[in-house]
Amino acid sequence: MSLLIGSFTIGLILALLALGIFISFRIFDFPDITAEGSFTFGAATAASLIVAGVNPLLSSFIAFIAGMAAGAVTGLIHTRFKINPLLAGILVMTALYSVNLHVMGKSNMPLLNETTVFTWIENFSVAVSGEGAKANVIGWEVAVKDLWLLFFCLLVIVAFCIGLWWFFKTNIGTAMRATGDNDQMIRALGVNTKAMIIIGVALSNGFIALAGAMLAQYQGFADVQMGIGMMVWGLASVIIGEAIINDNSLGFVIAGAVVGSVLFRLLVAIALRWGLNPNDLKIITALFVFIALILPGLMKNKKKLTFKRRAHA
Amino acid sequence: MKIKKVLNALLALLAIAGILLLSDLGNRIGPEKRGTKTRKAGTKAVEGITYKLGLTYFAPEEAFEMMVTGLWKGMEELGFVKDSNLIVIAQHANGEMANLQPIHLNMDNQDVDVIVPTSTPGISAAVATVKKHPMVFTMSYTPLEAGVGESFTKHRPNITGVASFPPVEKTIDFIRETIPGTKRIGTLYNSSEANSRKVAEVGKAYCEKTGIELVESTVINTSEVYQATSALCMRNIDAIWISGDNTAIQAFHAIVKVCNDNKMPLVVNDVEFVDNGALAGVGISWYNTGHFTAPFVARVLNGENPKNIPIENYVDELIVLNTGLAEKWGIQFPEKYLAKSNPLKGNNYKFSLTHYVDSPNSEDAEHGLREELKRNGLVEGKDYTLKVFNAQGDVSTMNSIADAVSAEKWDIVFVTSTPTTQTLVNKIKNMPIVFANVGDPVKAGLGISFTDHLSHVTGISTMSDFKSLIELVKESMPGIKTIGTVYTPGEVNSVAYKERLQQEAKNAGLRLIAVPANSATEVADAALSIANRGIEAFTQISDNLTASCGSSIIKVAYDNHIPYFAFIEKQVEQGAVAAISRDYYNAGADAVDMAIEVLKGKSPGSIPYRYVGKSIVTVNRDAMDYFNIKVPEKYISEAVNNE
Repeated sequence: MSLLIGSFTIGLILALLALGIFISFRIFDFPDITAEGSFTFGAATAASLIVAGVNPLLSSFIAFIAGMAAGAVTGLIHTRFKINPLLAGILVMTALYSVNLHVMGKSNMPLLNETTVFTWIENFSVAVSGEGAKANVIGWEVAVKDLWLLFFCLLVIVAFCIGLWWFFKTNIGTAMRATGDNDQMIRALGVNTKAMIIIGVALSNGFIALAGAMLAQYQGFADVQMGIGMMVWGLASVIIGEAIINDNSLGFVIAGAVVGSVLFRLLVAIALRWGLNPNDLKIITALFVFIALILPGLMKNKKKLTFKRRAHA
Repeated sequence: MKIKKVLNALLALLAIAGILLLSDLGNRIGPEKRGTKTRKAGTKAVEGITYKLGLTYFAPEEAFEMMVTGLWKGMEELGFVKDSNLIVIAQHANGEMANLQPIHLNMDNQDVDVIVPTSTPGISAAVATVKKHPMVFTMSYTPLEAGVGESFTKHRPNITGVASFPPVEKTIDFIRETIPGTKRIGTLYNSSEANSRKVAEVGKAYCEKTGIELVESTVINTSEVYQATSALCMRNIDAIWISGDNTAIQAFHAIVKVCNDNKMPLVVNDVEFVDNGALAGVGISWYNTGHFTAPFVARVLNGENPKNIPIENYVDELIVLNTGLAEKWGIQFPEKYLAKSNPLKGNNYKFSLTHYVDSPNSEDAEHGLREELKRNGLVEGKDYTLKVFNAQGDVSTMNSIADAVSAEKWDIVFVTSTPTTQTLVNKIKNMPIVFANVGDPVKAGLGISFTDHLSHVTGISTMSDFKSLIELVKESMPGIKTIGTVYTPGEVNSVAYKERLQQEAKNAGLRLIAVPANSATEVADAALSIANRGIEAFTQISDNLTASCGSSIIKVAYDNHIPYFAFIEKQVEQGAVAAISRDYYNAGADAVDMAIEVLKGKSPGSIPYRYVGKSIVTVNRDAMDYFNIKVPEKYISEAVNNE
């Protein structure tokens, strides 16, 4: 049970990453690799600020801004210098590696003894229900603190989703979505698509950096290599979410990214819980994701078949 | 239609969560919990009730601490979690008999569900004082002498518990068989302690039967113990036997010192004290005694009348041998005791091991860990199970692993490498964690120093032996001024190592030129740039990047005729002149040794972090000839692999 709760929590934290990836890849159709750098950038910024004694909430916010700055640079390189978006991302991601080392001053920054956002929640949990309190959730014993953590993450994600949804419904947001869908049309309407791309990629990386900042606080350290592979998982989450929700309207796609991220962590958790040979972990995960992707389609086909049969009868 | 889609998504989430929960069924707090061997009705905690337990003891001392550790562990297994649904009020008499009565009186007036008095004098006081509350005693050789009743079944209505009369006859047999020709055995106790008198009586009777003389010496307080033991050794005895006398145990270090000075074999009944310098222990593990007491306490907490619960004598007849000391003194333990001496066997421990990534280092550590468990007589599948996780270099997987590990109850959580340790330490607070392959645990945030660290964590640091290598280089190349290394800014260990090497070089009057490399392609260029800056030797630190690209640095060294010294054994085969390496195999093995201390009841917090016990010196004669340098003979004779 605590594995389930932990998976939900990480899934929700990484849903911020999925949302970021969703903005660049899906809204703008902009294959942005900056993610791997900005994820770590957010973690590094937040960690260094927290160690320096800055309020963790403020640190996370600054991490968000830092990620936006990184994204804006990618957008600028692409729009002003006509550099291929993939290459622009690669350039910024590579540069961020050095930046991250400078931000932290070393390659790994422990937060084990620092006050983070999550320490606050733990303290809150202790204040409400006492030290080491356990709750019984349908027969499993769970630390109350973990439940509060999950609740907090859920709250944050819901808030961000609503915020994002609202933003993409505003004039500027609609223009941004249109930029991704049909930039010629929207340019004809007098919208500066370059500005839209820059803002969009910046927003995307802001989310990703915030995910990094949250993960660093959750796991208790920031490491310069923690962004490696993140973009792929984020993308996988977005696509799983799309396959399951299977609806193109804005609200559903946003929700899909979150559901996909949580689902993905759950699949990894199952692979872990079954205690398979550790060397097989990745192939099992891949297999699960594969099944999760094809299952909705299979189910639909089956429904159609039965329907057809009835029609014939 | 839209609602259906939301439902679909929710269903998918629920289904997957359901699968996960199904695989997690074993961890439910239901009736089918691990280790349901001899649970009678009424030993389980009832949900929603907070229990209160009053604990009284004579003085804070080691035997008591061990018993209490076992007691809480046993209670936890029955669902009574200390400080959660089990509130414990503890009081001790500060080692003074006079305080025993007041603390029990005080305890009787507290709002508690059960009182647990310990040690024979404490039980005497409790029986005399406590009127309102049921009691479960423990840690007493002879509770009947303390006044709990006439027999184990016919006892006072408000008290029951666990007696632990030591296996006196077995102890004497053990001494006779280990030290052939034993004529006189010495013993020492406080004659005012009822339990000690009783034990001595039984011992004396058995000795007479076997034709041995029991030489008794009595003391009144701890300050007399040293002198009394010295005098005892003068009385032509062959061995000293100490039973669980409170006074003798409190002054145990004095007894050990006298016995060591006189090379006098010391045999005890409290097996935990073998670690403190006795030759052997036959009999009682206080940890197990505490564990055995837990169901008694649980039954009374659940409202059973102590009158109906018979007292039981608990002796597990453990044999613990101090083989190191025996070897030193040339004592040979009989085979049958050696075979029986492993208290760790048969406990079916649950271990987990988490790696960050597949690497030769983590594989070596796992190998060493498994072999060391084997060397300690533990058989996989029978005495322990080891579940291995591997994050395969992925931070988010690592977090899921941390959840998977924290979801189960492990006796020891083993981890290798720095990021894994950080993640697990952050996630897991209630299980002992033992790490290996962490270069610098202090820099990794695992503590303020090697001794002052988190209470549930301990482990092995694999930081390289910089001082020794610098010494080796200086002795091999007299007059050397400048050395060089490539390092990787992206690896926390690499930077830490570089700084340490710099420090050691400075101390030895050398200048270190360190050049960073961020990827495999940059390593050779970095090495070349150092070579061109006038270094006289490479002292290449060990990190992941340069370890895998070591040969490109060695090639630069050969091209420029600069001797190459390493911290990795394997690089000697590739052409390094010499290496002083930390052995990851030994790191795994040493981690097991620490884990065993924890399993025996020590708190991980009290075990300081350690460096890997063994450094390996390796030299390469061909390379020595090529670079025309001479590594001093003392290193070559020490080297494991001189080609």
